[in-house]
Amino acid sequence: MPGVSESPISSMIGVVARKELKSLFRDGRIRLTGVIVVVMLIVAVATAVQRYIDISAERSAAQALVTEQWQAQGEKNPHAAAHYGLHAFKPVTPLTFFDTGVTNFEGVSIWLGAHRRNRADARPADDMTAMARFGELTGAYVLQVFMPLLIILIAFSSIAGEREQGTLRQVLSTGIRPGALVIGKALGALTAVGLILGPLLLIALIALVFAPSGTTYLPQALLMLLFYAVFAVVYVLICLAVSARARSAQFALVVLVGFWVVTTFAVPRFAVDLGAYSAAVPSAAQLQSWIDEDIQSGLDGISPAAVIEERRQKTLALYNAQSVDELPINFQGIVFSLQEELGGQVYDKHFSELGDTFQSQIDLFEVAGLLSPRIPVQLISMELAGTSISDHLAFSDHAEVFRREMIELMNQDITLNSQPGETAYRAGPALWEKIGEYQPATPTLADALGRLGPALMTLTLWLIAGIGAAWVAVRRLSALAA
Amino acid sequence: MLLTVIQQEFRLVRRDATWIALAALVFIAALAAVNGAQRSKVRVAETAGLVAAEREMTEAVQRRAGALPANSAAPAPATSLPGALGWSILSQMAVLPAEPLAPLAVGQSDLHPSFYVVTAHEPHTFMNGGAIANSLALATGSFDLAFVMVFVMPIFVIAMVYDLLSRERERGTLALAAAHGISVLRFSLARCCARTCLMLLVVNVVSVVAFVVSGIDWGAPGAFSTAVLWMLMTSFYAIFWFATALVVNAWPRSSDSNGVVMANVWLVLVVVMPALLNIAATTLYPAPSRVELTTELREAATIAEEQAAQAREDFFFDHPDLVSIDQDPEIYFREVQRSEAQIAAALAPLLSEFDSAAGRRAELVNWLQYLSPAIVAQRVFAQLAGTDEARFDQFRRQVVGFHAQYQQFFAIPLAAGATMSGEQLGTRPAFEFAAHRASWSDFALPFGSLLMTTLALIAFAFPRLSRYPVTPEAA
Repeated sequence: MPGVSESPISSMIGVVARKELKSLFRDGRIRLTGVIVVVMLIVAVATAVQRYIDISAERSAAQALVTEQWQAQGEKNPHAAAHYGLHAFKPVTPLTFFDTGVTNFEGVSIWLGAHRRNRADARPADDMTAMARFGELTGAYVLQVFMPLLIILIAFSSIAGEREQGTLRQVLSTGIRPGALVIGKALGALTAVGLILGPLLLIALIALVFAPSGTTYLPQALLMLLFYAVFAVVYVLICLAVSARARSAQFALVVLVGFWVVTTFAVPRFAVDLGAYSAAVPSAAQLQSWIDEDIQSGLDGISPAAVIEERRQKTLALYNAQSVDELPINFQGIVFSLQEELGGQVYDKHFSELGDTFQSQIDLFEVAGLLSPRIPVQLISMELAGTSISDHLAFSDHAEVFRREMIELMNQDITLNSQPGETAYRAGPALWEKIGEYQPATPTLADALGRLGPALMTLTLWLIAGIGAAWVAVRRLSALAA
Repeated sequence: MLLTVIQQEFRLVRRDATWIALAALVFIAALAAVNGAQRSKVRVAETAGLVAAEREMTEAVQRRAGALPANSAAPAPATSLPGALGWSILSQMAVLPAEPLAPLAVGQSDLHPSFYVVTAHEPHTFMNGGAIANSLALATGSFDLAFVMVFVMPIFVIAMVYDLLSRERERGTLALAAAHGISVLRFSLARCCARTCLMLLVVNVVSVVAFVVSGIDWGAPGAFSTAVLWMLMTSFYAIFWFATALVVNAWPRSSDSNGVVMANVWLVLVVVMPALLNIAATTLYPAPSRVELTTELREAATIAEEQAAQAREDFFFDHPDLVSIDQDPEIYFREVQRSEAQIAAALAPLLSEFDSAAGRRAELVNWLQYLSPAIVAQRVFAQLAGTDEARFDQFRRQVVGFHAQYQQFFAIPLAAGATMSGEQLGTRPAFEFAAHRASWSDFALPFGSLLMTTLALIAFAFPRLSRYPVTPEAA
């Protein structure tokens, strides 16, 4: 590189980056991986966009249909209507097409009826083949799994190869600073990755803008791209550090591919299994039996029957009556309300414990992120896409609030508008219409950012570690230049 | 001379980092085996606890029901009424027993329930929910021995042989060997065989260690043969990767390029093909919408509800516990049975569409699995461990069949207005999974396909290896 010694550092970096980029595109080795990655990204995004549009329309239509069914149920006792209930369908966010997160492994609808808080059912995973367990092809999967391999294949011989060919000393002897060389090579590799993936990601962004309510998620999408870029930088820095340290390019390749397999596949799998031991999830039957036991015996040791009796005495005293038949209200409505309230507390306790169990497992997964750069970026991506476990739990809690309001409205109607023992009481559409259509709360950017702390911190640590490793590489090159 | 090459190969393995890599593979595999064994133990203990609780409940009911002779004239308690017993009080656990190799491959066992609490209600009421699981764990997958063998082991094979010839050529030792009269073909085969034998030794030792760690019950039917098949599949799969490396090495490229090509082959076979196959199967044969099933269920419930309105009104809208004592609660359960049967009949066509779409998807995957040896190996491992999709499907079908028998046990006396004694309850049908014992012939195609592919690769590599240039300049 003649004349480099007199150039400012920025110019040196530019020269190295341009040279690196040129040689990368001349080298046929990355073409194969580049083609695979690009084809996968096209397949992933193209199939997912249509799926998102279909699913989104279907869920909206289904929500409207169950509301229509609810309102058209005719005249009946409000408690019978409460047993009939309705369904809440989980919303799909436009970024689901890019990162499905855990959505395929969670149910898509919750039945909202009297007495019970139900878990979401109808999991899409139940209708997938076992092949989905190898990993579902989405844009996020391509960036989390394929992009690092592409980077490895671009950068493994970046320094080690030059050393083997004897050109490294030559380059350093031209006066180029080792720091500028490493930064230039990093920029060259990143530009190559950007040129391969960038156009497709841009198309995906345009598709997002034109998707229903897509613009609302544009900030999340841009942030997502930013964090994937940081992830790419981490990988490039690690690759350059290994390439500078390895005794040969082949050795660097073996080490880096091993690192990729272990951190991309083995560590996340081991972390979730470890999480399952540290905080065990009960079976559905076990959970239900605990709930039934607590409902029967009462949470604070006072049985529901005793609570109902106490309320009966208070109500009789309030209305100065001897029996519930003398009350101007239907005491059965109050009993239903009390049962809902006590049952609700039991369900809250067990669902909250279940949520805590999941959170403990996720916490451990986050800690495992210190051993795998894929983990923090995976968690960040899911949160921004609105497809994380937290988003699912938020939907479940939101639907439960709606259920309780709906049931309470039914019970109040029985209390105020029917007579004691009047099983023939009927309410009509006027009451059903008060419920309205379930409007799911869509995950917001603030919700996501609020949960991103640990993952962001881990990704930052990886970035620092990458920079540190690259700095060590620069020191080694400096020693070589001296 | 050939023996010298093999001896030299083992010396090389001892000297370079290969043995460290192999030790790392043994460690990872042992970790996976311990993990699988622990997971399996938890699952078995949990199921056993539920079965015990259910048996305790049944015995208590039997004792109370036994206090009255069948069809006694005295007012019958709920514990002797077939409607209350079948539709409200009792249940029967239907358990899918774990196969001896279950700890080695989680397969679909974390997704599908391995037991159902069967009641006289229709199956759509108790078979609609999956197991409670951390969905992040489901999406990530499990760290079991099958994963180590299918995903990780090939990487170790690649690391061992991606530069089998290229490095020798680059160092000039290939020309040296040629000068001693060893052909490139024999040289490469000797090196490849030596390393293959070493890997086979490692993976089979790892498998045996995993069998021991998992505490396999060797007395269980089929335990020995499935263990042998497991080891055979592990070996076939490893040999396939060595054969692939031989083909890649047959081209006179640099070691760097060989490494890149092998990494891409791994990517395509282990990651890309399964993902594409899943997309192809779900796109060509999509399941009917689960959302549609939900709305269909409501439609059917609405119709059934209209007809059941009178009974529900009499029994205070699904609260037979609140009706006056002089009402016969069995009328309520008769109505529940009738309306649920009506809902089940309305849902049957849609559920059968789900089954037929799932069947078509499974058939497609069955044929296209041969596009990737990784898929073949994964499916065989899951099948040997009894955690494959087909076994869970078989279990679901058997539970539905058992339910019909179980429901009849209560429905007949319910229709007759009879009561049930403790003795009668003792004859309640129990579920036993009728396992389809896979025979050796069931595995002929997967093993045959791997063998044929491996032989084809070797045959393809032979002529190129014979013409392989011994120096970089000759390439």
